Amino acid sequence: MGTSPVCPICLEEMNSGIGQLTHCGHEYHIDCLRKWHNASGSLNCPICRVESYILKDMDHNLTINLKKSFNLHLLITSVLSDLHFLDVSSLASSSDPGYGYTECDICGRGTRNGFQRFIRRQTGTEVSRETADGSRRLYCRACWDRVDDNGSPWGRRNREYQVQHSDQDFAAVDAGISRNGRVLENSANSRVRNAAVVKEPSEIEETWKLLDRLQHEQSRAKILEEKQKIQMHVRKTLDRYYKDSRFDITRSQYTDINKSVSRQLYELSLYAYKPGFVDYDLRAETLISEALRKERIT
Amino acid sequence: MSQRLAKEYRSHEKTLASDKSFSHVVDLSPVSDEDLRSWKATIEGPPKTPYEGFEFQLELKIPQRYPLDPPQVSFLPRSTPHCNVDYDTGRICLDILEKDSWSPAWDLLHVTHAIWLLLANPVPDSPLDVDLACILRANDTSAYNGLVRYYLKDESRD
Repeated sequence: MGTSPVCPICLEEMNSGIGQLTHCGHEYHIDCLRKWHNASGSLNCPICRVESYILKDMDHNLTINLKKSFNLHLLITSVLSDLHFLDVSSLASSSDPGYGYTECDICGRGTRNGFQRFIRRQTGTEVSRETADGSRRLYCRACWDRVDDNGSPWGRRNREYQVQHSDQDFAAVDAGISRNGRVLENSANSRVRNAAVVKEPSEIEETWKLLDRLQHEQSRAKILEEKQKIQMHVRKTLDRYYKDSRFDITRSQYTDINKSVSRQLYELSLYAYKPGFVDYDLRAETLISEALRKERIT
Repeated sequence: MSQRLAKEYRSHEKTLASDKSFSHVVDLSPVSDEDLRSWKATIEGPPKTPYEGFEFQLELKIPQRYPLDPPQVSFLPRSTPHCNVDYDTGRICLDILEKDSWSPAWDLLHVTHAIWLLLANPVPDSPLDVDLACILRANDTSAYNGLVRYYLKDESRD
C-alpha cells in the first residue's frame, strides 16, 4: 500500500486527477466528484454535506466555480495568473489601436479588445497569424481549422483534435469580462439567480464539460507551442540547404523533410521541448542530411 | 467502482475484528464471495432497550451505481417491531437510505451502525408502523417497550 490519500468515493488512492472543494478542503478524484454531482443533482460535498461549489483542479492548478456554467471569471483569473510575462491590466486598458476592435478575417465575428482576444487565444478559440505581407490577421479557431491547409505544424491530415465552435464560446468569454476588461465581480443578483438554477443537472454537466474542454485545449495549446519550437530549429537548418543552389530542393521536398524531421525530433525528446536534453540543431542537421541522402539530393 | 465493494469487504473485516466500538455488529459480509452485490449483517439489540438480548438480521442489496446510489437495506420480514420498520416486509424508513440524503462517503458499516442507532432511537414522525408510533407519540414508553418485547418474544418462540 502506498501513502497517498484515498478518494472517499471510490476508495482508490489519489495519485492524480485530484480536485479539492475549496469551501471545506475535502479532496476527491475529479471524475468521482463529477459522477456524484451528476447523480445527486446537487453540489454538496459528500463528507460535510455542505454545498461546496468552488473546485480546484490540483493537477492543472485551475479553479472553477461549478455554479456558474458560463461565467468563466474564476477560471480566467487562474489561467492569467500563470502568465507572469504579461501585464493584463495594462493590456486591457491600453489605447493601442492594435488592441481595439478586431474581427475574424473569415467569418467577420468581432472581438472587442485585446484582453478578450488574449483570453480567446488562451482557450484556443482564436488564432492569430502573420500574413505574407507582414500584417497580422485574426481568425476564429473553427474558421481557421476549416480553411487552413498548412497552418499547423504537421498539416491538416494529422490533426487529432477538433474544437467545438458555437456562439457559446463567445458568450462564455463575454460573460466573464466587463467592458473595461476587468473581471466582473460576483454580484448578489447573479448569486441568487444561480442558486435558483443550480439544481438543474444539465447545468452542472455543462460546467463539467466546459472544464474538460478547457483542460484539453490548454494542454493542446502547450503541445502545439512545443512542436513549433522544435520546428524552428529544423527550419533554420533546412533553410540553409534550401537556399544553397547546390542542393536542388523542391518546395514539396522541403515540406516533407521538415515534417518528418520535426516529428522525429519531437519523438526523440519524448514529446516535449527540452533544449537542455536534446541538441536540436545538431540532431536536425544529422536527420536532415540523412533525409537528403535518401531523396538522392546530395 | 466494483473495486470499492472488495475494498470495503477487506476493511470491514479488519474493523470488526479489532475495533471494540463496533462490537454490536456481529457480522457484515457478502452472502457469497461470488457476488458482492448482496450482503447480510447481524446486529445486537442495543443495551437498555427492549431489543437487548436479541439479534437482528439485515439484508443489504447494493445497486449497480453504488456508492452514487444508496444500498437498499431491510430487516428480515416479521422480525423487527419498530415504529420506523414495516413489520411484515422489514422495510426501513431512514433518511440516509434515501437518495436525497445519501452520501457516497458513507459505507456499509456506517449504514449498519446507523440502523443499530435507529433501533435505540425510534422516530415517530415518519412511521412505517403507525400503532407503535402512536403509542410513542403519547409518550407511553413503557407501553411501547412492552409491545415491542411482546412481538419479539412471539417471534423467538416460533
